[in-house]
Amino acid sequence: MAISALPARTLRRWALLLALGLLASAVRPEPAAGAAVEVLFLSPAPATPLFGTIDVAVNVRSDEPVVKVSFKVDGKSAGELKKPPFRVQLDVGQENVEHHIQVVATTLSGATALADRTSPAVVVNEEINVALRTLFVTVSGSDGKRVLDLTRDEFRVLDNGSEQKLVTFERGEVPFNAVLLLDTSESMRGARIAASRAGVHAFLGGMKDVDEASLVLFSDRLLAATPFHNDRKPLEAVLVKTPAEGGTAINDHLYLALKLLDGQVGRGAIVLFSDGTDVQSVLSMQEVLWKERRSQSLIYWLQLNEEGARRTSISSAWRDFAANDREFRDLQRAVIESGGRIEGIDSIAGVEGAFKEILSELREQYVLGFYPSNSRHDGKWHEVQIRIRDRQGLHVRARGGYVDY
Amino acid sequence: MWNEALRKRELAIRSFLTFAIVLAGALGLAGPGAVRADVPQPQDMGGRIDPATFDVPAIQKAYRKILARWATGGRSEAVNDLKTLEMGVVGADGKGREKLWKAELQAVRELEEAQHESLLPVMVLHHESYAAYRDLHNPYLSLHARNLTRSLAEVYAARGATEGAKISAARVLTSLGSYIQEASLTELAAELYARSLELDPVNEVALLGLGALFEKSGRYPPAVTYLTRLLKAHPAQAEGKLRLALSIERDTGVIHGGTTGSGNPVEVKRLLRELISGDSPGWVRNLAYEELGVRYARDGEFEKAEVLLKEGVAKFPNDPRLYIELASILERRGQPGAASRLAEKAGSLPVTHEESARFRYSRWAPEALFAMRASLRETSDARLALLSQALGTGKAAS
Repeated sequence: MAISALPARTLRRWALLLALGLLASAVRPEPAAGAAVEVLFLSPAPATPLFGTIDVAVNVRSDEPVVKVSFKVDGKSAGELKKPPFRVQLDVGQENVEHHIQVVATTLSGATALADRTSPAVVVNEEINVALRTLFVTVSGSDGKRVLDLTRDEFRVLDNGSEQKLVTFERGEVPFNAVLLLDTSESMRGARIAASRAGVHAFLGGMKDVDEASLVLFSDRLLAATPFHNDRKPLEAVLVKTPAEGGTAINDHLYLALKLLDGQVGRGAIVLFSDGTDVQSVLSMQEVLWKERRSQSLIYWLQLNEEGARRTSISSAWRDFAANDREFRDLQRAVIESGGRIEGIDSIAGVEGAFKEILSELREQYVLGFYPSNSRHDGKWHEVQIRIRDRQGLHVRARGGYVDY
Repeated sequence: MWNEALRKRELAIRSFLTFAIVLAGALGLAGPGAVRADVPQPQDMGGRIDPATFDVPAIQKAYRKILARWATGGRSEAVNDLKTLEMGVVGADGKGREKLWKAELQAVRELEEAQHESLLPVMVLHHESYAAYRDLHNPYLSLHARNLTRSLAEVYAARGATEGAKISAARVLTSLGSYIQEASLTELAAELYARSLELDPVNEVALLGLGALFEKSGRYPPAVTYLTRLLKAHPAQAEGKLRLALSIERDTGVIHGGTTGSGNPVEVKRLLRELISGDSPGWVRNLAYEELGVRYARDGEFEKAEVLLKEGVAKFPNDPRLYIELASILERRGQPGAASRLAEKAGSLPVTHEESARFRYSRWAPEALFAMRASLRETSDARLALLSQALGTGKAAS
């Protein structure tokens, strides 16, 4: 619902909360732990409810060089910077809950200082949805190589045709959380599962310290779902011990992956690796699309299609030919709408390279944030277009829109 | 159109039956061929035959030994010996299959003349050898075993004096059809089921098999016809009721995972509720929860879906899929946090290597089939003494 539509009593309560927060921060300076170093919050403002993508910025005062500044949100690592500006952009999700932000600065001598800030939940009778939209944008030139030198001013974002003001802009190595969603059905036995393991190994090996991944292995059922982790060893151990067996249920597990990313801070991506078509899911892709349109995660689909074999229509116990074809098209649509892409792999020799390429793409994206000027929270689809000023021949890929809810 | 095709196949089956009987008769008139001096004679290898050395009488001799072994309860040995004999005679190129067909059919005809009931254990043997041949990837052997089993079943039913003979023949054809259905040879399986129902109109597995076959190939009107017949004859058939519920819906234009139409949602939901509240097998009840939840959600009855799926989760607390489905419903109801907790719960459940209920539904393995095969084997075992008698190796059986 729009903020302007909230009851006056609720608004008064917000105002009171905000005033109390500001007062608290005025009478109590930002925490300073340690004599030689002090961390001060620049953003977010105290006592401010947090939703969606937020900026966390701190100032570090120290009489010796600062070697790193680590950020944690709700107990989970959210990034680490080695030089100023000490500012990260995070997605805290859309749920109306309290968030706890911790920032630790470490100096050359090993002295540390901690600053923490807890944002309150909004006390209202109904949940509200913050409208900040974040776009993960991949730009490539006519030669296919990614273009990384664009500035904020060169981007134009159109929401249902009307130009939007960018409030956040990042490029390059923004931390991410990835769900590696791997089809481990019987058809993946042998060389295919080995190639899958090699691809996952390459992906995890290329992650930075601030990135995290979860492995979700599925066939007709869920075979494993690990917590998000930066350490690749426990993740790979799960992959090695899970046998390839059973049928294929992509929809149910793609929905699960989207939900698991909801609970993560920061950029989310799903890498689906499968050689088949969904046959056993209870959720239709329409239901997954519903979710995808309310998510900000990217979906990549590594579609193993050896020898370039053409996909044939199938009829199954759960769906007839037409329904299965529709499911397939809707999966393609979910991937494209999310701003990810479908990578057809015609040989298992190409699997590892495909995983690496997606990792590389995630490293070379722009992150743009805007508050839609025409938001009505009416559940309608907003088409988003991104244009680059004064440059020709660039290919831009990002989420194609969102549901204004 | 499909029914028309089935009628044509029934005619083809009848022609085939006539051919088999005529061939058997012709072979009977011709009698066993003389042993040719220039053809190497089979070496007796403890009941087995050296495939390099055979002619029709030699094949028959080895075949009778195998039947004798079968009659005395050497089940797996007999199936193995039959495989060795038939593989050797047919060869990788299939050139010997006509000779094998003649030899075996002639031997069987003699048995049938001596004791009609001895045919039942013989056809059960060939039916089991068909099952054993499926992994050999020799199409000639599979074809031989399948055709011989069918022919024997037809002869047994046609010449049997009792309804029991028809029922047993129908069971053999249905079991054969089930093996073929597993191999996704849909039309041939449908043909066998249809013939089986001519012999035994209430054969549970054949009715279910036809319903499942038509359902899997997206032909919902005939699926509904056969599943309705099934439920009329076997009202407690839970798998059949589930397939009927889903096929009724698709028959009327509502396709799972697709657009909605008018359908008959009241009847579909009624059948699914019956399955939940009845004493259906666990996997069927599990699916009934999932599918009824889907239908409530599709019709905008999210509150009902939530209540139902919470009950389902309580009944099947280790099934991640019910948690995922419930999460999707809660999210639709504006509870993303609760949905996330369910998703996390789904991910933390102990992993099972048992097939899921949805996978179970996708493949053809009904409990009724295994019960029918066990019963068929029992009926056949009761006639093994008659087979021994017909072979001249056992005492007269009453």
